[in-house]
Amino acid sequence: MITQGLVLNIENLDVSFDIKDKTYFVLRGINLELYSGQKIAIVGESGSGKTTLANSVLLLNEKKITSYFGNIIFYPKKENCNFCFPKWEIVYTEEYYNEQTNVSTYEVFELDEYSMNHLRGNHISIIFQDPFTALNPVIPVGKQVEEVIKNHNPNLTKKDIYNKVLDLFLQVNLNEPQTIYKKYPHQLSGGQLQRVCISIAIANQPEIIIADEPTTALDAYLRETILDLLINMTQKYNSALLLITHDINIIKNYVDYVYILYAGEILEIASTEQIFYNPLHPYTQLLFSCYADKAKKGHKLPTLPYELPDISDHDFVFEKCIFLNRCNKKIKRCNEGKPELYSIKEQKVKCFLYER
Amino acid sequence: MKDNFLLEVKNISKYYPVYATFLHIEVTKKLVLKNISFSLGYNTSLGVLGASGCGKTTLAKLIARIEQPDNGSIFIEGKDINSYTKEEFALKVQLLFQNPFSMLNPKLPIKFLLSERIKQYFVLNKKKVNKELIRYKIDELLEIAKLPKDVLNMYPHQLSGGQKQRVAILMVLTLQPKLIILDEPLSALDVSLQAQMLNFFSELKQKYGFSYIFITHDKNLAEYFCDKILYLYEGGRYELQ
Repeated sequence: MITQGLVLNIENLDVSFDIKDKTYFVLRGINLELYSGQKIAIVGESGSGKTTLANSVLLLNEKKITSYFGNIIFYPKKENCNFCFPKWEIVYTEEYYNEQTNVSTYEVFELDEYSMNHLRGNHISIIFQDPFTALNPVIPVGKQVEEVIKNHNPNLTKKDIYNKVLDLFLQVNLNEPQTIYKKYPHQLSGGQLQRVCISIAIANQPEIIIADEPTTALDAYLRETILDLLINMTQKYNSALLLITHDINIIKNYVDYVYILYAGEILEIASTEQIFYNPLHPYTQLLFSCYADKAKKGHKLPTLPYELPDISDHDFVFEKCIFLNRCNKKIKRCNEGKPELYSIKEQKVKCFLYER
Repeated sequence: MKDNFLLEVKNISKYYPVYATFLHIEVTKKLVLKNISFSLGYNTSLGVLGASGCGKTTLAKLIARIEQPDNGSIFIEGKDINSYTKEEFALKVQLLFQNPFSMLNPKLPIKFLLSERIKQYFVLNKKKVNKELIRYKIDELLEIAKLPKDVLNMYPHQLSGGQKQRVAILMVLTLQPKLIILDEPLSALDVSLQAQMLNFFSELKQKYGFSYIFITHDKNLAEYFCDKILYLYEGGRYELQ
């Protein structure tokens, strides 16, 4: 059983990629708190760093090119896990202050692979965008679910594991579990495969489920069914859900909080109701105005001008408002520096328009 | 037959066989479409809305001649679709799928993909074509789609989602079909790109004057984008508004 409380705390996280002599500052100053049972959506355009954020929590970004800075701290909430510490520092940055020179140096620690493997699939699990590539094509799907259970529960017998897999298949509405167990990924449809992926994610009843665009690769008709299933499963086990998506409309009925991510920065944090009722940031407002509906018939739809900014440009990225060149509500103050996250009632917004 | 309709669908029905789980024997037939009739004029648009499994894609397949109906018939410009040759039909109806990547050969650069289609258009219309004409046509297409010239030497995987979708639309448009069937072409794109594509498509419609059938699950989108809407329900019922 998962107890209540804070499960994941991301503090001032920076992630950068070094590719061909250039440094890309993919995520900057990300702060995120996740409590058990809470459902959070991270919304952004393609290329805004959503997947990098999801992968960072499990240290799945390519090791050779990625550098982290900041803290990602995970607090286990499972009662029967003997292996666990009260907290895991997945990424931890320590400051060394030299009093003689008045200079601080930082050292970043990442959790070792052995401990990470304990967390992956057991405490934090991830559902990838494309179920066709997430599963191994030469192993029957039942065996792949079995593997996840076996790795984290070495004491279970073969028969117990088999029964657990069949039970999981029934939970995710896969009928005839015995038949599905023996099937290879290419023999199943997209919806069925995504259900198998969900069953892998919930197999060990993790504290956190990260769903990285779980419905993008599926037919539009299947989306709601899969999302419904995902939400039901997280509620059943009291897991926290981090849902990553580019379509703000599909999350309307599913999540508690929405984080708007743009070019690696969080621009607005609000509850789902507030973000639909009263979006504050010009970017969020533009996003909503792009949706087509009957009232706009015959008129051109507004679009976002220009492309995403160049995130390898150090000066621009760290010293200017990241939305500056696409913003339609610029004021004089915008050219002078970088805004912080300002609190407006319960919402938080990173824009000079709300500076006090 | 009246000639002022581009597409006429008359009483079409479609059943799919349902097989037993163990022995591959046909048990029953599942009704997908039942006595559907509608017509579509020139330069108009029809949205097709419905829940999962109610036959939206089946309808598209029937009109595009990928499958045959069990009952009824479909006419394009007053002629039964089965009376057209394959080449003639290619100039009448074209399909655009949800995933643009599946339409573009990953091993060929964009320039080759577009020039092949242009050649095809001239050959099907029994006209002569040379390299210069193809180059001119490609430049024209790029200008319409507002794509940079560098795109030509790129391969499909090097393009962004929006660019891929634009190239796919261009490939469909080079044949200048009378009717384009759009099967959820926007659902894989983010909102801003969706709006861009909708604007782009409206511009093209004004310029080339084709009709389209827009299959979607999003009611708002259909209401914005289409003149008429066909609602499909499970069990073959339908309603035209």
